[in-house]
Amino acid sequence: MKDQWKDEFEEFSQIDSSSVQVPETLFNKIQKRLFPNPWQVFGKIALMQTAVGFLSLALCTQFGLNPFDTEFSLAHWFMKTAGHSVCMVLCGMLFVSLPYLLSNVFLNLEELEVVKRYEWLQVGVLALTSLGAFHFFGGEAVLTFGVLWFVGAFLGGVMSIEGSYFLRRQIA
Amino acid sequence: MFKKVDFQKSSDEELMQAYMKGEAVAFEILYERYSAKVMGYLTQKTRSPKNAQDLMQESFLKLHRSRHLYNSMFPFAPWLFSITRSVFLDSVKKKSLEDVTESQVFDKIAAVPDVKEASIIDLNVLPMNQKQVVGLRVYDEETFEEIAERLSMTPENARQIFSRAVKALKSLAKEDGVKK
Repeated sequence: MKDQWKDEFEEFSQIDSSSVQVPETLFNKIQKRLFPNPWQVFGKIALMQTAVGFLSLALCTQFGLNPFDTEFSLAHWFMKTAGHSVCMVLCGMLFVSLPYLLSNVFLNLEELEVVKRYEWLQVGVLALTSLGAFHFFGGEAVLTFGVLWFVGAFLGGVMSIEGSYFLRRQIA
Repeated sequence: MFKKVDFQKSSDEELMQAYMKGEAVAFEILYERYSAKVMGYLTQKTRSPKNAQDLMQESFLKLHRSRHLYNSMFPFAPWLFSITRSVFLDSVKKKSLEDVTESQVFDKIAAVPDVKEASIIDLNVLPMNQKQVVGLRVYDEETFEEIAERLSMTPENARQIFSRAVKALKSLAKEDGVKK
């Protein structure tokens, strides 16, 4: 077995590279797959964040925004069990981590690597944009609670990215 | 930021270290140095440039996904070769499993008495190319590689034609069964 490996490696080493034609398009294909464009990946995440984040408002109203007019919201339960401050942190966590966890289903490992490489920037931008959107749509985002929500969103985002990447790495 | 020029004189092992740290340029140079060798090896093994291209993509994807396992104390070329070889061997295993399945289907069809009586195995019901491939595969027991060489086609093509023929025979056998 070892001898066979050695023989084949010898063959491999002796291949005359100049006599082999490698199509140029192949490199582009490989490069696109291995190093996806960070902006494209961020675009995908932003789309998922918009869709799933909006739907998550049915489960947990944020800053009083309840577009689906649901009677029960996780926010009420968080509020009852842990108080207003913890509720804000948990709401932020849920709002940002849920879309991240779900969007990971649609991303391949290489795209996840890109997300992980820029996780602080991505989560920060998404959390701030979300806060801005809540304010724009009439949410009662007060500064103190806004900061707590942002802390929760940041923690939730980073944790969900790290967890998903770890799991996918194990599977791959 | 590193430029491609900075890396041109680096050894393979240094390039791998940079690549592990996320330097895409280092990968580009490693690809430049080894893609022809990988392609050449896979073409020799598969005798099909198209299959070699697919396997080459898989090899570099596997290299990318295993790069964190590389130890720069050891030379890069044997490591890349091991990856390429394992990708090739995996593809061979996969194909032989497919072949076994196809042969089993064919054996089952041939074993049905009605089928034999209805002369479903009379290969004249098949188009010429399918007839040739089935004849060589089943009666002469040639491998797809041998068939491909004999009929001037790729092994992949031979495999597809055989698969289509088996499907056609199977559906004819069913039809015949219904009539009887």
